[in-house]
Amino acid sequence: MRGAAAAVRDALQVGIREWRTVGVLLGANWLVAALMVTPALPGVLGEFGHSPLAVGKPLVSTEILGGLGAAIESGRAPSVISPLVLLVLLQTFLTGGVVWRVCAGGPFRLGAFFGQSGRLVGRNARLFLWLLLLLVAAMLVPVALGAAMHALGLRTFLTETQEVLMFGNPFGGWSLVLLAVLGFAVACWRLSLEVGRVLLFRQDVRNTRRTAWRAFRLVLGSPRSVLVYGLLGLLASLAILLVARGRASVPDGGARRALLALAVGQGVLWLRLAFQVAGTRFAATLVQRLEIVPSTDAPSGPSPA
Amino acid sequence: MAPLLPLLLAAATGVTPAPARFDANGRSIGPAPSDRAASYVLEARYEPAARRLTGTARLTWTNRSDLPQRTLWFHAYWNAFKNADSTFSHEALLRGISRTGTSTYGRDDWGWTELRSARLPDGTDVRPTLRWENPDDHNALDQTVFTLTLPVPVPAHGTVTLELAWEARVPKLVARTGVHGRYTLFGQWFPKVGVLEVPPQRGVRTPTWNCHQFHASSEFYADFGTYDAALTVPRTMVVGATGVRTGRTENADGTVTHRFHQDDVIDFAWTAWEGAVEVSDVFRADGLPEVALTALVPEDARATAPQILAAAKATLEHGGRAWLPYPYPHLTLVAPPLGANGTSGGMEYPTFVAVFARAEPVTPRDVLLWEVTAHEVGHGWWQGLLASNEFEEAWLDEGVDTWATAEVLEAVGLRWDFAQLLPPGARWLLGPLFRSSISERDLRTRRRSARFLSPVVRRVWEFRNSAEAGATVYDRAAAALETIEWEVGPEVFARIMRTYAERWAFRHPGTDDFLEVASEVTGRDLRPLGNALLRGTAGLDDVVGELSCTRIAPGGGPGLYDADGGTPVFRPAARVREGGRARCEVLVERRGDLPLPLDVRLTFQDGTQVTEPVPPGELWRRFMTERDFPGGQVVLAEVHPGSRPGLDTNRLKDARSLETTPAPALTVMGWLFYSAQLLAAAVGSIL
Repeated sequence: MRGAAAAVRDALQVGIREWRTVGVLLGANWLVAALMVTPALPGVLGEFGHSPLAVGKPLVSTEILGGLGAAIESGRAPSVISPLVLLVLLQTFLTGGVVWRVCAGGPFRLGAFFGQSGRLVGRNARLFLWLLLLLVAAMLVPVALGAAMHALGLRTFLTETQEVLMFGNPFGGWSLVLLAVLGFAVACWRLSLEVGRVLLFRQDVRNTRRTAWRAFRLVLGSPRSVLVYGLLGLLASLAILLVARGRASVPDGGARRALLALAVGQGVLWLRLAFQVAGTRFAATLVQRLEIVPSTDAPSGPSPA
Repeated sequence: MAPLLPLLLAAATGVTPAPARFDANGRSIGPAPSDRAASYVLEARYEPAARRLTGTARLTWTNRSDLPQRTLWFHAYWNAFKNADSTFSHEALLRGISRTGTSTYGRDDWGWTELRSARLPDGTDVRPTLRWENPDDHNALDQTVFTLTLPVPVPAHGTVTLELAWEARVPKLVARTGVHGRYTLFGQWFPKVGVLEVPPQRGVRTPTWNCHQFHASSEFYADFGTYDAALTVPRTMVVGATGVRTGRTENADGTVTHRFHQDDVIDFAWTAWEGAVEVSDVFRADGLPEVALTALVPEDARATAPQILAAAKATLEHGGRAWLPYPYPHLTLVAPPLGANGTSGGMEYPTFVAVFARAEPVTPRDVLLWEVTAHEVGHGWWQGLLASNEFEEAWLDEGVDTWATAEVLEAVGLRWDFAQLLPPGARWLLGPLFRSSISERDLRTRRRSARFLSPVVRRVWEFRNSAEAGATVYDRAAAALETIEWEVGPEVFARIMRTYAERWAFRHPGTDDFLEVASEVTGRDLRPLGNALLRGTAGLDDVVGELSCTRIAPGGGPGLYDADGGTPVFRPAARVREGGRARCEVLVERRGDLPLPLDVRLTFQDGTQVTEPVPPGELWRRFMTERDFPGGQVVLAEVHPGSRPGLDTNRLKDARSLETTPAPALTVMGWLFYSAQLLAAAVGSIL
């Protein structure tokens, strides 16, 4: 138990220490978000640029939402698909750099970061595609369980009527059980992906199919690690939701408040990305603990020093 | 002793109620307030295990016309749920009306009703004359309307009594009727005679039967009468119904017969519900009649009861003072069990309404519960007392009641907070994301438009789809009323509504009757405006399209100017450091076709204001001003200054400032950017 706590602590410390890595990920997030919202900018300025009746109104008001609706209806809607495609490419690319940082440590150099990203991008992409198959398999477990619960007459959020969301409480005991199983399946898959990436980096292997399978077997052989990884994810979710709640609590109604809300919102994103780095670090520690590879730096990677 | 009771009660509570119009048994005191054209004595036995309902109804029908009537029209509403070929099923499927659909019905879910006999007092059974009718869509497979032909016509202003016997299978809960677990709601459940409209009622020129098929998006229309019901159900079931409970008899076979009575209502609905919790209360207020209240709520949503009772009292108080004192002595509120709110909640019947139940309502006032209760209890006036034709002029019920609901919520200071709609476990964590404070009136703005596709007054099933029907007869109709209110002023409008309620209570008003009252109260002919709002498709969207100012140098701008000798000489643009003139242009547009007066107010930088009209018929007008700089700059242009017609759409465009307003744009762009970031992060979490 102490080992698990130490692994989580170490992961969190790395998540905090690697602020430059998080900064790079946040930069990519900004780029994608900016591409998404830029098409809406002319419409928003047109609707709100000289609108005294909108001044001081909160976001959730008929004035602001009505104006936003009008802006979108006029064809100035945010773009979603293309920026998300870019996101997929960007994040697949940056993954190599993140793995390098959590495995190798040492001073952060942007050139080296991108160098490692470029070196591993093809293998990371192939690994992800192999593991997508596993994701489908992993999702079958909670779906099958949900179906079985439904057949047994047990009410879960999968089978509750829609009105339970508004009139009842969808978080009953069986829903929580199903959520836990779902969380475990997701954690299992996600940890397999992280472990696979660490293996690719540390062993510099080319066969991604075999690596994916090996990572999955390693994760299955260490269910306690999956649990701890799941708890790390739960911790991340709670922390993110708390800060998001704080962001939502910033009252609307002025330029300064809008900027403050945006700034607090960056805290939400920062936290999310820092936990992403922490998760990768957790996988690296797991690989090292299982003594799959000697704790040396990658043979073909640049020196971390 | 009896006359002393109100005095003792007043002394004890400090409240002096108004005299009652009905006694404790639901019988009218003094002359009957309605014509009681169709009265029923109902007896029904419900067997929940078999989902069987058997009943008899002694119908006493009065021919209000000057012509003898040999053929009587009836509704058999439950045959709408008989098969997929009923008009109801067709429409529900084609027009996407989810809560009324039978498309998910399994083999045992369908319901039906069948008339077994229809005997005259002399024993003649006229059941063999039954003929299915389909006046609305010629769907020969629809069996929701039938006629019976009598051997001898009912003479003009004469009366006939028919003993009807029928049997029905209760459908799976749909369209506010049927079974859901241990809960059964009985609406439109007995063979119900149609309305014989007689001149000048709603503009008919000859006596005409108004008896429409059951449509997926329409409600009902019926005559006033006396209802006396004996309902036999298993002992374990709790029963609530229209009217006042007048008796309860335990039977030897393990059943109980519940008796209810109410004079001068247009319908009778009831519920039989095993496991319901019954909570009683009384509405008492100075100068208003007392109303006994009963709430039936699910065991696991007991906390709903105090809120719906409080909301009902607030509505009875507001409606009693603003419109007409609620005359009936008892009101039943049913909060359906979880899983049945969508299909049976939010429905009105005389003195009996179905609202919503929440397992863990927001305290102290849950806006979802308060809004639905205010709306359904409000129907007690606009459908229960002023019994309009909901098939053909649904706005007179739903539109007026939507307006009325906003009035009640405003009176009690309740606004929509979307955070309250979250499930209990998520309210604390996610509540701030949805926190809001929007009035009921403002919530309806999204349904306004510069031009509409249908008039408000239209048969409900003839709208393009259910969404258009709902948007029109509820929200747009309410906005139309607010527009009349804007035109005549709130105090005069309040007088219109009160006069309309007083004059047409216990009768069947139509659109023209409402407009006639409005014209009479205001002393001006409001029919052209009313017809444009209700029978036309014109919308209202008055906007300030542009506002710009340029600074003119004291000597004028650059160009050729006549010199002293008369020869044009070029003069360059002068650099203006101080002084000069401000030349401003304001473009005002009428983007809708509704011919309402339109004023524009220009506010100058020095604080002076000028209000100008846009002449009727002009779709746009450009206002130009030239005054000394800087005080003469137009800094703000507004249309409809001070108050805004209810139907006006696009509120933001009602005013435009010269200076930029960065705060709203920043708020919106900041939120969009943050949302995009979250979306990217969420997608990124699986990569």
